[in-house]
Amino acid sequence: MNTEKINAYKKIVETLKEANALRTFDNAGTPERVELDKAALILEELSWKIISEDLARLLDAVSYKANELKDLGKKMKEKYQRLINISEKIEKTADIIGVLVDIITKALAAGLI
Amino acid sequence: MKRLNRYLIPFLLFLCLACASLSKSQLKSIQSYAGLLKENSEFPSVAINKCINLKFDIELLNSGTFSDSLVNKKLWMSYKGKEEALKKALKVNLTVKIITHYATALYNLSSPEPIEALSQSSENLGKNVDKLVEQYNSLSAGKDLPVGIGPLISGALSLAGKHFIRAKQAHEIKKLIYAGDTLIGILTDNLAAELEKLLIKEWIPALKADLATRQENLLANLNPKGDYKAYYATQYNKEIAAIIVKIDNIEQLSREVIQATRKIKKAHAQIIETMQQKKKITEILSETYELYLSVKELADLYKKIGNN
Repeated sequence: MNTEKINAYKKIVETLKEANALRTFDNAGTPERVELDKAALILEELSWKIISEDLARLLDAVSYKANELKDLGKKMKEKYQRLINISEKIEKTADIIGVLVDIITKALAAGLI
Repeated sequence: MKRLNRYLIPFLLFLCLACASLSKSQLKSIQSYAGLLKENSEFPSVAINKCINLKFDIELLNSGTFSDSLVNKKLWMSYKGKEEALKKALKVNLTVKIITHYATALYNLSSPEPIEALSQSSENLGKNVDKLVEQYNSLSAGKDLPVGIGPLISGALSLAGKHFIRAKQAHEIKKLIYAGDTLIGILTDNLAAELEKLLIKEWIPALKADLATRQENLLANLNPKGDYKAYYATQYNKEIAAIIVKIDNIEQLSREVIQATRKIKKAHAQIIETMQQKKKITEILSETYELYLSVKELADLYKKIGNN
């Protein structure tokens, strides 16, 4: 990791503080003030870039192994579905046997067997 | 009936001993953990997004001090900067959400749903068998068949089915949760370390410094001899005081998020340890309980902060 990037946002804020200290009521409306305002604007723009870069760095660190975890989650989902399927098969078998027994019982009662 | 019991009971005992299934309390603990994991993974992105929005609010504070020709440009620049950062934050959020996918899958896999579904069918089968035996006995002139065999069949099917599913479920959970341990460990370690570096060490101190800078700049741009200088200064200060509260809340939320992220790893490791030791869990695991406390605190804090 680039150590120079660490605290870059803080460093920009420190520089911005110096630029802002020169942007006062006394020089409002002067050409010099417009230039100082532009400098402050550039620093602010830079601070947003740093924020985005910080997030990209975080993303890199977190993405490591994330896809493997995603695959594992998928596998778990599949295994769960299989468990449900097996359970449903046992359930259906019990139901079918139950129905057959019921039919035989009724047939016996009706004297058909 | 006695004869049936003689074969049935050893068979069921064999089944029980042959497969190492997880106890109900173990399954419950795994499910509780997965539920908390799911809930907790929402919060890192909340802390990040709140910081980005706060930076935008702070930037607008002294927007009135810029030259008229630059004000509009300044507002657009801040807006675009915020949007760009939020887009990146969304990517982070999607990656962190992978923990949620894992948690949801683990939650489902440890659910008692496939086991419980078997009870009703086997019970119906038992009732029908009993009816058939009664019917047969009423018609048969010979030796009667034993009555009451139905519940025995229903119980045997239910027990064998449940045990089979439970053993299969335990096997899959163990296999996958072991594989998940390293991944969860690396992911949460990295996430907690990066969040601490980013939010606690970098962004939040920078936001505080930025706020102070803009407050000074606002006051330095008021006419020192103007009639309403004190009034305007008070109004600005009120806005700044409200932002101070927001920064304080975000700092608290960020610390909680980092703490909870670290607890995810500990609780995962404890679940594995308990599975290995085949311990009977009589109460919720201590590390999962710690995670529960953190997640509860986070949820309460988030509720309190609301949109602030």
